[in-house]
Order: sequence, then C-alpha cells, then structure tokens
Amino acid sequence: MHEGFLGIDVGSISTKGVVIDRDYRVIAYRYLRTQGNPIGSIRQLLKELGSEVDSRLRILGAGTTGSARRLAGVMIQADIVKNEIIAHAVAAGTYYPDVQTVLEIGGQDSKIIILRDGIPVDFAMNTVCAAGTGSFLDHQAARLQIPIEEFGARALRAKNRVSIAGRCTVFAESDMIHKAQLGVPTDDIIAGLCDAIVRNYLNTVAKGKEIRPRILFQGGVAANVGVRAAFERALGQEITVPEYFLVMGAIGAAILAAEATRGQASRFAGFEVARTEFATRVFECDGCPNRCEVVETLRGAEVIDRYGDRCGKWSEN
Amino acid sequence: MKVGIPRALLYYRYGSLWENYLRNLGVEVVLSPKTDEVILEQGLKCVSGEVCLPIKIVAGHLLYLKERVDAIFFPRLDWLYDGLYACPKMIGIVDVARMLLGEKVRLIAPSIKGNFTRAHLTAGLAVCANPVRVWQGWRRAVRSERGKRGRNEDNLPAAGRRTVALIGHFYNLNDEFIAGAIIRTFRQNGYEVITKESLPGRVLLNRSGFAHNIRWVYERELYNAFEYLLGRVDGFCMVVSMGCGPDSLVAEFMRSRAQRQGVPFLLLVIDEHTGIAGLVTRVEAFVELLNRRCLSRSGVAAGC
Repeated sequence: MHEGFLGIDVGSISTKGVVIDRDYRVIAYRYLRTQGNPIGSIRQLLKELGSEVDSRLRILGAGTTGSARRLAGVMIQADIVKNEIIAHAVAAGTYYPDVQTVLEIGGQDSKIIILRDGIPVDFAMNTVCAAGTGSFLDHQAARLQIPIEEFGARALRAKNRVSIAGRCTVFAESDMIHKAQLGVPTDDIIAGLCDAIVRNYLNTVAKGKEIRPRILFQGGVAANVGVRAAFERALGQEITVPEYFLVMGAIGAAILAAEATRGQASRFAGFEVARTEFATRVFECDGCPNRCEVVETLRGAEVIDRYGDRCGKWSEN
Repeated sequence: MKVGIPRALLYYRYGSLWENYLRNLGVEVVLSPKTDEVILEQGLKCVSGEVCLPIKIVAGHLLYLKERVDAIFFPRLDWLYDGLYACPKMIGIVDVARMLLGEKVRLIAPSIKGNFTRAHLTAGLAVCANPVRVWQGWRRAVRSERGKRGRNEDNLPAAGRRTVALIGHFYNLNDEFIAGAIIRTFRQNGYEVITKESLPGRVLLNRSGFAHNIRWVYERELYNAFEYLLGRVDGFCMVVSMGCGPDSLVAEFMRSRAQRQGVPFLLLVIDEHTGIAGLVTRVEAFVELLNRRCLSRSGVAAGC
C-alpha cells in the first residue's frame, strides 16, 4: 500500500485539496468552488479525493491552510494548521528551488512572497481592498457573458490595449462600460483590464519589493493567460506558472504536514469525515462591550471548537 | 469636582502622572474604560472618516466622559522639545473635542509648547485656586513618577531570547483593542516584544544623523528606537495607523533600510476595518519567516 499526505486549502472562493506521495509528487487533486459553504465543500472534497485514493493509499499526515484553515483543521483533525503565505512559499520552494518571487492572486486576496536561497524573507498581502483579484475577474466575465476560462485568451487577441483605471473595482467597471460605449472592441477592453490588474498589483501589494527571477505565478488567476502576459510585459521577465498553480497552497499544507509528522502518527480523522455531520453556530458573547461574535463548530451535537473572541475566553477553553 | 481623563492618546504616556496630579489637587478623577467596540462606534459617528484610528477612538472616549463628568482634562501637545511637533491631528483633536463637548462640560486643555511644566501648572490653576497647592501637587506627582521608572536602563530582553521590536506609537501599541492580538500572537509563538517605551531617553532623544531631519516628535523617537535596535532584535514589526502622515515617510525609510541590512520587517496598517484574523495571519506568517530563517542560518539552532 502506498503512503501519502493530504493538504487542504479553503479560500474565500475555492476549496482545494491534494494528496502527495513521499517525494511530494501529486497523486490526486481537486479544485471546488466554496460557494459560501466551506463545510459542505470540505466534505465534498474529502468524498471525491477519498474515492480516488482511499483504497490504495494510507494518509500519514494532513495539513490545512487558507482563510478557513482553522475550521478545516478541526474537521479533519489536521496535524498542522498553517497560514497560506507559508504554505505557498513552501510549495514554490520545494518544486522550484531557484524561485525568488512568488506572485499569488486568489479569489479575494493577493500576495507576494520574496524568497532568497529557498527561505521566505518577506511578504505582503492586499489589505483593505480586493481590486484586481479573482472574484472581480469572475464578475466582469459574467457581465460580458464570456466564460471565465476564455477570458484571458480574449485579451491575447486584442489589437489595441486600452487603458482601464485599475485602482478600484468600482471605477474599473465604470471605465470598462464607458470604453464599451465608445465602441472599443471587447478584446481590447479585456486586455486593458488585465494590464490594470497587474499595474494595481505592482503598485500596491508588490510596492517596494524587489522582484527577482525566477518568478512563479500561482493561485486561481494564474489560469488567465491575459494576466500572465500582462505580468511578463510589465516586469520584462519570464513568468513561470507551475503545473499545479491552482492548488499550490494545498500542496504546501501537505508538505508541511509531512515535515510535521515525520516519525509520528497522524491525527487525521480519515476520509470518512465526509460522511460526518458538521455544523457551525454563532453567538454574541455578552461578557463585555466588545460583543464578539463567537463561532462554534459542532460535530454532531458535540462542540469541537470555538473562536472569534478577542479575549480568549471561549477559544482557549 | 469630577474631572475625566480619556484613556487614549497621551494618556498612555502621561496617564498616571495626570491622575496623581489631579488627585493631589483634591479632584475626583474619572477615567474612561478601556477601548471597546462601543467606544469606537461612538467615535466613528462623529469624526471624519479620513482621520486615523486613534483619533476616532479618542473621540469615543470623550463622548463617554461627556455624560459623566464636570470637566475633561485633555492637554494639547503642540511641541515638546527641540522644536519637534506632534502630528496635526493630535493638535487639532482638542478643537474637535471642544465642539463635541459643547457647553455642558468644561475642557481643560493647556497647550504644551515646549514647556511641559508651565502648561500643567496653568491647567492646575483651573481646578484649584491655591497656587501653592498646585505647585506642591505637581512636584509630588512628578517625583512619584520618577520613582516608578528605572532610569537609563536598556531593558533589552535577555540574550538568547527571540525578540521582535514593535515600532509604533504608544497610544496604538498600549491600547489592547488595537494591538492586543498582535502582541499576543508574537508571545504565543515564543517571541518577546520590545517597544520604544522601554528604551532610555538618551536613545530616543538622539538628534544626530538622519534623526536630525525628522521634525515630528514621536517619529523621531520611533526612528531612533529603530536604529538602536537594528542588529539587536530578530525582526521589526511596524504598526501604522491608516492615513498617518508623519509615519508614512519614516516607515518607508525604515523599511528600505531594514531590507538593505537583510533584517525582516513587517508593516501592519490598522484602521477600524482591520479584521483581527487578517492581522494574526500576517503576524503568524512573519513569525514563521523568522523561525525558518533562523533554522537555515544556524543549522543547529545556535542562539535562536
């Protein structure tokens, strides 16, 4: 029987899972839409991955990452719960030891990670604004009635790249509408949008960072060849999109789980978790005027986790 | 007579001195509670969206006190020494306070223009008619403050402890509502936290080199602390209020200097929309980065 490690990355828009072997090669992976229901999507993910690998593989370690990493972690009883910056950096550094820059654009956040000699040395994430992330592209593709999969290719067909305001999602949209009303072809507008996203990224998230090759581009938006090309044009350097760019965070979580469980038994609850009922419940703590919203995770009727309080009254007990 | 002190801004540096002083003058002192969601919301309602988080918070504290006291003690720091100014928002908030409080509550807001003592004595006369008592009350308060602080010690963490320097204004870092989660996350991950408040005056007041060019009193302190701690800590975490003008330039200067020296530097920008989760994620990632860097350098962890 083979042995492997499981990594799960639950983001705002998508839920990713991978199973890797001892040499960190991907055996199976899934990419699902979270659709506002992380518990459901995690169960679905486990069901699909489980039916593919469970009969022939033993999981020696499991890790979770992404914005819902804590929830995913308590559900599957992960060996390690790590933030997405480290997960992405570890995956990038493992597959490409010479990587010095990771550009990552996901559903609602974007980040840059700077590595030197394989060690992450600096990073930044978008703060209050999600302009130019995946969900905005999704929205624009839907508005123009173009399948998101073809969106990037349309940009490559542009003859003249028009300029689109990229600082703000709302203004970018009005600018696109305005350009369309002037009669600018859709392809040119999409190309302009790709440029705007890259410009915005480089001026905000990547501001002040020294972007050296090798440059990896990962996360959902890396699927967009238009944005990819716009990055290459803006940076004047070649961009590498890894084979598993969609699930690099999950791969990182799996690698971290492998590192953490070396020589130890895993706590992983097994793919059967897909059949277990989970629920979350929110209540407002009235212990002080902060009135924190505390989130409880339940397995069946049993409370297995609480978080969301500022003071630790609920989460630390 | 009940005199309120808002638990915000300068309180975090002079609070116990003020409390002592006012009590020595026979005044009943009322402190606003620690910042919480309700206080912040009150503040948000009445100040411009453009100003920084600590100013919004102090407005909330003023409104809390408005219903409960006869007067509010709220000194205005114009400049302190060396012609170094406080930020314009801190100077201006006193006028905003006067409007917020209206006729109902008296505002005791002496302007500190270089002479710290004179401003406080003037304020004392506003609550106590006896000048001798004011003078003695002030002397006693100052003396008891001196007794509390160990002077001119470095207070650096013991060698061998992993340490992060938090570079930020004392009114942000000492307000648990703003910075509590940041500090907690560092400590839970095995890092000691040091701020400029534990450094001796001779370090913070340094006026040579680049510090000479900084004309803001607290920014010069931040910069001096940064220079002093460079090479003495494992990394820097700078906490900046969104929209802080004076900080923006100094922050960029420190960031690029840290980068050139190969010292990890994390910039956290805070405002009322900042989710705790996002801050904690960044701090956790930063800690991880420090740990990994440490491991790779030493092989077998030596000294870190």
